[in-house]
Amino acid sequence: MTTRERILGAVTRACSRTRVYPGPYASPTTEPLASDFGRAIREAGGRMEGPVPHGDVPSTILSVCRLQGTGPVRVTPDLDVDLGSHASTVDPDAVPASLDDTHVCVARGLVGVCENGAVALPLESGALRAAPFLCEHLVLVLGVADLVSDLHAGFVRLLDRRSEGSHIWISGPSKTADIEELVFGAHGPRTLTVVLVAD
Amino acid sequence: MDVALFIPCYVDQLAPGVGLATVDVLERAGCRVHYDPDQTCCGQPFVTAGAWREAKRLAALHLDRFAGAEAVVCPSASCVATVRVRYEKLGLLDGAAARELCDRTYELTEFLTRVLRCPNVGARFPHRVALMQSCHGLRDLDLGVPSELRHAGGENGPTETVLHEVDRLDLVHPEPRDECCGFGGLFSVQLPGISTRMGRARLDALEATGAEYVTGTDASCLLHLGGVRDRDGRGPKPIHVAEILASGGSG
Amino acid sequence: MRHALDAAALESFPDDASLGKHFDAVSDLRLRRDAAAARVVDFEALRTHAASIKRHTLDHLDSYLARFEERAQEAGCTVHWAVDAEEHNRIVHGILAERGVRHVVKSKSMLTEECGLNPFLESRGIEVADTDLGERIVQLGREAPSHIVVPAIHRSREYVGELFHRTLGSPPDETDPAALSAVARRDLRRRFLQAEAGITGVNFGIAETGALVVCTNEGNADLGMHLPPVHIACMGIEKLIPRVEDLPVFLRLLARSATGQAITAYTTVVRGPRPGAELHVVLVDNGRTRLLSDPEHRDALACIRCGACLNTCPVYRRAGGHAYGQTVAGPIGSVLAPGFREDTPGRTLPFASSLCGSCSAVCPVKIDLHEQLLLWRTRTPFGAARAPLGARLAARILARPRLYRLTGRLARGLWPILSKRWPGNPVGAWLEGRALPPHPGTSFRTRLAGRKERGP
Repeated sequence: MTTRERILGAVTRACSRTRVYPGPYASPTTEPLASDFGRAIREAGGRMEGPVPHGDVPSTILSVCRLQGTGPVRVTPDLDVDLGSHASTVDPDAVPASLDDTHVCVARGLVGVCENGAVALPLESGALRAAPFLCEHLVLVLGVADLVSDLHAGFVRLLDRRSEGSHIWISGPSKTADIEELVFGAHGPRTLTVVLVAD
Repeated sequence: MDVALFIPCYVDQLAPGVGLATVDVLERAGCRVHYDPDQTCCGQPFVTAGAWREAKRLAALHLDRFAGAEAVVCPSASCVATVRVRYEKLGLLDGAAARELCDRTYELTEFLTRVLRCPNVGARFPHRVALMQSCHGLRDLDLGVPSELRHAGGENGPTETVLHEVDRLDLVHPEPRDECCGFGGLFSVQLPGISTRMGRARLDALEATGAEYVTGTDASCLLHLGGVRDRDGRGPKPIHVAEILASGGSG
Repeated sequence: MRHALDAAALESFPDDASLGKHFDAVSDLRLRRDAAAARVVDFEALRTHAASIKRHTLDHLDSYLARFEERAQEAGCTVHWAVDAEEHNRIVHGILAERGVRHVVKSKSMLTEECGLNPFLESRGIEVADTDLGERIVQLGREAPSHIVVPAIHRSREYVGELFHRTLGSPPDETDPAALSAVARRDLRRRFLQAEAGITGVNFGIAETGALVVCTNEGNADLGMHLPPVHIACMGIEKLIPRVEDLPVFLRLLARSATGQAITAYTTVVRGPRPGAELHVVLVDNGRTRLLSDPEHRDALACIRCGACLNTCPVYRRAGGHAYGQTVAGPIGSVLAPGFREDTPGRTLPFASSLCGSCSAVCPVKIDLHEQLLLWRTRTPFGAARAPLGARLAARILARPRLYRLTGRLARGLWPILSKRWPGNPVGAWLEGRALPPHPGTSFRTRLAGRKERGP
């Protein structure tokens, strides 16, 4: 008998099969407000810029980058913002370690959740997964239309857009309170800025 | 109303004044109080010790003694919790009649408020009093809103209600509101170091309210706090709710 | 009579200062949880729903496990099964050894702690760096974690400063948390970039899609998953939830219950390996099926490892995690320990509690922890054996009204003697830190009878 058979057999013998699935969860519906989203991001230690009009997005991103000092700015390929010569695009097939010197990474968010400030990003190649973690500062670009009120709506919206692939919810800079008090930049980015784009 | 008085063994032996006060309060509220002098113990220490056989035996004796009572009233939330909640959970009940009797067993303040609907018994107690709601009362008997669930709202429980009705009584709450005082029955002697540290912390929180007295529904917790207080020489004086309700006012 | 935990607590916190620091740090987490719950209007509805999902899942765990395995394999994972800690360790080692891996990074996983994975790998020449900062601190300090969410909560900045100076070369008098974290960051970044494999735990496994969910604030699990070519995810079989739409129910409760945050900084949902990499999932039993077979206690497997019960427990606050001598401490640890295996030193832990019930009230999945502690007491360590002599004697006395009254009179007669401390005093444990109540006088029964005689 394999271990698999042994464990599944023991589980089957133990299962009572009595309690039923409670069905879908009905969360109280509220308006997704950019102000709530901004507050949640701030509480998690991040910052929000905007909502800014479409035309101002590149300059907003660049001024955020400048605030963080100098160093390579790298953007993900799905970012539909032209930053000209100030930034380079991450090669999806790059060796992830080559991105270790990234100063600012700019990526496109898919969905933003107002109750907790979480932004969903797709997880694709190794380089694209690593980029938002190896950088010193992370900037996420998100449309106001991409905001939903709570995490239940967030998962529904994500399903609408991406089917069921790997993804990550990012709600703030990397942080820890393991040495008595809160510190940012435990392993990943020290700051998180969300640039919200107006409709 | 006819009431069968259930006096915990430790009240009978160590805090008899609480028992007498309970009789007074119930009579003031218009009840006819019956006391069976051969009652002993509901079995709580054996329940918490995990001594199932012994607990079953004492539970059977207890239920037998109070069978047929219209209402059983007890000045101890932990004993009532043992009867109403634990007996069934530990499989100590035999039959529907026993279950019904358990459901008719009440702690004093909940009996006054929820059954008699007479929270005011004409008491007067012109002092600042800090309320220490016992764990069993709060979390097993619904005698108040535990701090863990304050976010869900809810009204003041019966203990607080009857205290608010006492003339000239200034009721305050410690912060934190309801961390365990450290008695816990056998816990107090099996983990005496932690138990007394908990008692000291509770007394400090109670003292910080500026209260002269600390009150609650369980004489056991109050005896434990009183013991720490007497050893350290500081902290509010413990007094049982029944004793407050029995004081001042008309007889 | 005295429980081992009491003495162990005193050893961990010998004075008010050390106790106070731990107590305040842990209590603060509970206060943050309260504040977070107050901001979620449907917090109680979430708890009820989450509790219901978990119990249903446990009741049908075999079909959910089979489905999870199938979907995970479809997504490209290699799924392994381990009946116990030893097999888990052998499997993980096997995967690493086959690929010639010498350097591994590991993010927080109580399961791998439970299995003793680190010493197993290290004794076979594989270097493991724990990357969660709290785990890194206890790893460098050669001790066990003391809290499931904040592993080094029992340690001060001064301790960490001295430790990092010795092991990581930080400046000798550096105690600033930000500076010390930066030292660890540099050291671990190097290890992330060089690691040949990453090991993580799993917060939730989604049966519907075969996805794994990992939640962190630091992002260390992500660096450990996304950089090396091999990711090994270790998961207890009870960690499954049925569907994707169930996940937000738990995510909305997890961080709020643990630390008061609305959500952790990073919540990663991984469905299969990334292109060109490997993802291994090790499903572990190690006593879980034993607990699942126990109808009174199986619901403890609903635990999502938030730590809220530890944070609120007045005993844990004053004892610290090490005093429990188990991988998982606090109320949940005390409920799981006797369930996972028969003959465990943790089997007396259910007695180390005042049964205040605060743990049950904060549990996001509504495990009735304090009731389970009580139920364990009727089963361990006495089991079917007899209660101690003292208990049996006391019960006999209490069953006989006249004997009870006589014993009461005797005790009251001996009051002055019992009130003093002397070796062998039967109430000696009470007298540590407390006085006996003043002589109670006559019993209630006697006084009531006296009143009646005297008339109204």
